[in-house]
Amino acid sequence: MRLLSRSLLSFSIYSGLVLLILTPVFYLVINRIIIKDIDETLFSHRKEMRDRLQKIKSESDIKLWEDIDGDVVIKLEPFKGRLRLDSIFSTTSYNSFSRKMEPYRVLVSFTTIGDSPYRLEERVSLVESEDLIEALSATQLVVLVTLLSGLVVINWWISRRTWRPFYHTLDELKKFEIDKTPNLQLLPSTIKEFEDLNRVITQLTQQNHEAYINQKEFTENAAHEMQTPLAIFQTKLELMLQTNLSESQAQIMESLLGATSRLTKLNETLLLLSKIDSHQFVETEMVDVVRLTSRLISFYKEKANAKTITLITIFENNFSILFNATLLDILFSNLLSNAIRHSPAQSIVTIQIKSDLWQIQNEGAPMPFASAQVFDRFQKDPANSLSTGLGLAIAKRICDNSGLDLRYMFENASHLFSVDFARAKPVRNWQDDDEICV
Amino acid sequence: MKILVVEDERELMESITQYLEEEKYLCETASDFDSASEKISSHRYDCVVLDLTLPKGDGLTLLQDLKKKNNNGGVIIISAKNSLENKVEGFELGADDYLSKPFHLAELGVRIKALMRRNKLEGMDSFSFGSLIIDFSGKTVSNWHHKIDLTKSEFDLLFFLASNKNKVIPKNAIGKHLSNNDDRLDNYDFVYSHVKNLKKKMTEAGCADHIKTIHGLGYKFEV
Repeated sequence: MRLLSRSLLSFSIYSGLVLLILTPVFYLVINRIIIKDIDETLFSHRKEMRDRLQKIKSESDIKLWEDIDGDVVIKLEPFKGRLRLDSIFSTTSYNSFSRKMEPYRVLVSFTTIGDSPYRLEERVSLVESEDLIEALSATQLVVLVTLLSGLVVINWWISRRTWRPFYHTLDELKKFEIDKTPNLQLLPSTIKEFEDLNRVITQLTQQNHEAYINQKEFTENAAHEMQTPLAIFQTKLELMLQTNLSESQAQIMESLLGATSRLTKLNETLLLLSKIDSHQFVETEMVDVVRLTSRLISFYKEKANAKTITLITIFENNFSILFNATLLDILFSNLLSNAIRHSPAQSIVTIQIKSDLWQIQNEGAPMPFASAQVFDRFQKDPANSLSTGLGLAIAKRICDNSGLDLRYMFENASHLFSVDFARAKPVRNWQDDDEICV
Repeated sequence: MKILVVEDERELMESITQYLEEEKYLCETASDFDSASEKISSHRYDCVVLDLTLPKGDGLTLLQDLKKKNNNGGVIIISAKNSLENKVEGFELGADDYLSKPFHLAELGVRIKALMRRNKLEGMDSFSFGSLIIDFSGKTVSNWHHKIDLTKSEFDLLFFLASNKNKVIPKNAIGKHLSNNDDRLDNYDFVYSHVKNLKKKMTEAGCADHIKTIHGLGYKFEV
């Protein structure tokens, strides 16, 4: 939920609750006040009536009284039985004048005229009062709605203005890439917290970028500096190799040569990785994907044959992309050599090009780690100590840096890596269904 | 055959000179810019093995000086800077070859041989070991004038071994050489089958058994 909607939502809920609760409360209060007022009128009328009734002499006088009183309708009738307490209540009854059922407030009292007991009923119509209450309630509702919606709108407007630098900062942060010099265009704000935030973010991104650059340079320098000692080590070993070695010395020598070779390879790979990271491969050209793949396959065929692995290619179509030739070469090479390295003997590695995809599939046991970690640096199969554990990390980095999607899947006991070139705007060269086997 | 080794790392310089001297080259050394500059200006070398990062100066400046003198000597750059721009710059300034550190001594050996051959130094067009003749210009091998049919890889392998005769060459140096110094292969098992095929073809042609396997470490072309 967005920050703005959050405060807006709270305000709206509050306003709604206020409207829902206050409107009936207001209605009830007004109603009570008016009824009380009418009751007072009725009580004073009763008092007046009792005084007057003492002066009544005949039935016709009573009729006269009933007729002349305006607001209060009087009904006086003889009553038999014991006198009861007066009572006041609301009721609806038929109004012969308007010919409708209408609400009334009724006061029933008992009195004696002469010696005979009478029941006196005084009633006041509530029609006008109800109209008044309704009008008042409606007015109040309009006032409340206007007030609350105004508050919500003003709050939304102020929030939006206040949070604008924040959203802007957020957008700028989204554009931040650790390997590029941070150039955050942050909006100045009058709010102290936002000013603080902007300052901290500027500092943080700067520090992050510097730390990254330092680390990158460190890797690069370390790898560079290691090359000369490695060269000394390797050449000395090769000189020693020329002497007459005993069988046990030869075994030690073999281990040393193997370790040097791995160290050299690791060092070269680290250098390559830091070169990719520092975007040293910038020149691009149109690369024919099928042609490049075929060239690499003829290079790796020997290695595959040595392991009795068959390479099968299925080129459903061909496309060219504008890319750095060296990087694409490294990308395909790493995926190819990875597939060959991890395939069991007498298995099949399939390389397929279809629509915008370049795919390579090899049989093999599942990885001893989670699929998501397959592209992590130094993540390697413990059973295969010769690999540097960097090949796939490099492939992933190349793809990430150039807008290609590299995906990994394991299904039906085979590993599938696919490179999706859709975002790199491939240009189709030809299309047919020929399957070319190499 | 006179070679100047310009390298500031003493240990590496010693390794290189020891290896080359065993190959009967005459080696001189320089470990900084000034001494290298002085030697280049006063002597003529058939080949200069040049490190690019030197104390007191840049190896590329030395390269320019060498080429200005135009005395036909070849230059092989050995550098820790393994970047394409560096290579291109080196070649543009007239370097004949480029090896990035760390390298195999055998690889340096074969590069020097190839350089000498390109520069038409006498006796470098072919090797002959008794009845066996390895001809570089025609890329042919013959025994008692009978041509032995070799694949390109087998010829390269034989040339590599013969260029470093009587030296034990580790397997991975051969593997790297045969894949054109492309180090994407991390496993050089195919070297074994190439050596086996080469030995078989040479034995069939009646050659002496020159190629020896040394403790499973590597191979040696013995004469």
